[in-house]
Amino acid sequence: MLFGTKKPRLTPEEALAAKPLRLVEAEMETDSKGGKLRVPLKARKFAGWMFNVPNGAAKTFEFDAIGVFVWESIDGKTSVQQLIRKLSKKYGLSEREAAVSTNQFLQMLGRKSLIGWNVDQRKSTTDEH
Amino acid sequence: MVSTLSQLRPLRWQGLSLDLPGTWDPVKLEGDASQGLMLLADLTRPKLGMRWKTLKSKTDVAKSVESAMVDEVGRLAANETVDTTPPGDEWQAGKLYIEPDPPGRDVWVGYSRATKRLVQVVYHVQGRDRVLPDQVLPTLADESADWAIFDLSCTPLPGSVLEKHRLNVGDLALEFHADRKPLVIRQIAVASVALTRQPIERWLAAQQLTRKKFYRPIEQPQPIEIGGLKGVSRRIVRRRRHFLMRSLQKTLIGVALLDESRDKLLIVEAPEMQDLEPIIRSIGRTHKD
Repeated sequence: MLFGTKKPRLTPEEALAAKPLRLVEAEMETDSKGGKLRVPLKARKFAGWMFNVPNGAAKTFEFDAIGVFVWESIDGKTSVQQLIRKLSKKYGLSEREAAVSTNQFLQMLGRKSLIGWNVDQRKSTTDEH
Repeated sequence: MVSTLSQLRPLRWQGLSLDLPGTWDPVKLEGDASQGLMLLADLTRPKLGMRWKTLKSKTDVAKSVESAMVDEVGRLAANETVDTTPPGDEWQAGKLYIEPDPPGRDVWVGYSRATKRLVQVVYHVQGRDRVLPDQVLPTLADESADWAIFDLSCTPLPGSVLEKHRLNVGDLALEFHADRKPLVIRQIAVASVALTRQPIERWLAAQQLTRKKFYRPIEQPQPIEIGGLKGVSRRIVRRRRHFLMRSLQKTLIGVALLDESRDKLLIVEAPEMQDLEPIIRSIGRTHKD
């Protein structure tokens, strides 16, 4: 690839076996509706030089009750499949319903840089092509 | 083996009825009662495909079954089929092909006298098992009045035809019409989470707002209890300027109920209260059975 690195493509089994882990150290404040996650803002090198980030500045993410449950289950040891099973068992959802909502939620957390992935990829599919 | 009997879950769609392992969920649903297809998959791969097509009355059934089998598995494999007919009087000329060297596809093709449909069931077999002949086919039936998909099961009015379906995660909706009577059955999960977003009255109002072009509310939501489920109901009437549109019902009643035992929010719309009650009582019954 000319620019950047090509992301490895995961098989469905590998994606289910992946273990999400938290990338931020933040406390979840729970209430009856769900919870709020306050993530302290850190100034990056260039941005820190250009802009002065005030002390104690934080970004707040609002979660509903299911979001709080998934967030609290993310520990770097629990796989996506285990998360899906826990969710479907707790809320009486079908596995497919739990899988779709969990995957979308985890992708959103990934885009916000709140979680990363611990992937046990036996053989990269990109190598095969 | 993929499943045990205790893990089976009902699937009722367009009159076809099956009991399948709970981890198999529909990922593709197309067509109507006369012709359509359905694909079911677990979290990693496709498991079962179904196709159905109404045959013309003068069609030779045996030839149609044979031809469908040849199209699916090829001429050589079609010669290895065995006659297999699921229990029930409606099935005729059933043929089963078992893939001798998996992975591959086990295929059953048969004809339903009840609805004059040719039905094809394709099971994606990974290792040698007998899920199709021993677990799936014995539960196959036709001309079911019930509908069951994911966690939503119901028995609509007799003669109801599915007009639209919306099967989003946590929000399943089936829209029928029966002799010009519209009928909406919607199930929202998880109710405890849904009700923290907005109260039950606003869930009902949001549903009825989809008809605001033709209908207007005439009352405030009224408390109601049907079959032990508590909730609210509200009547909407056809707007005066649409008085010439006789195809639209004059009034529609919307009911939103909380099913606490299943943690689901049910929203049902029908023209009359007497239509609503048996439908509401039927929701979730197939899954409980």
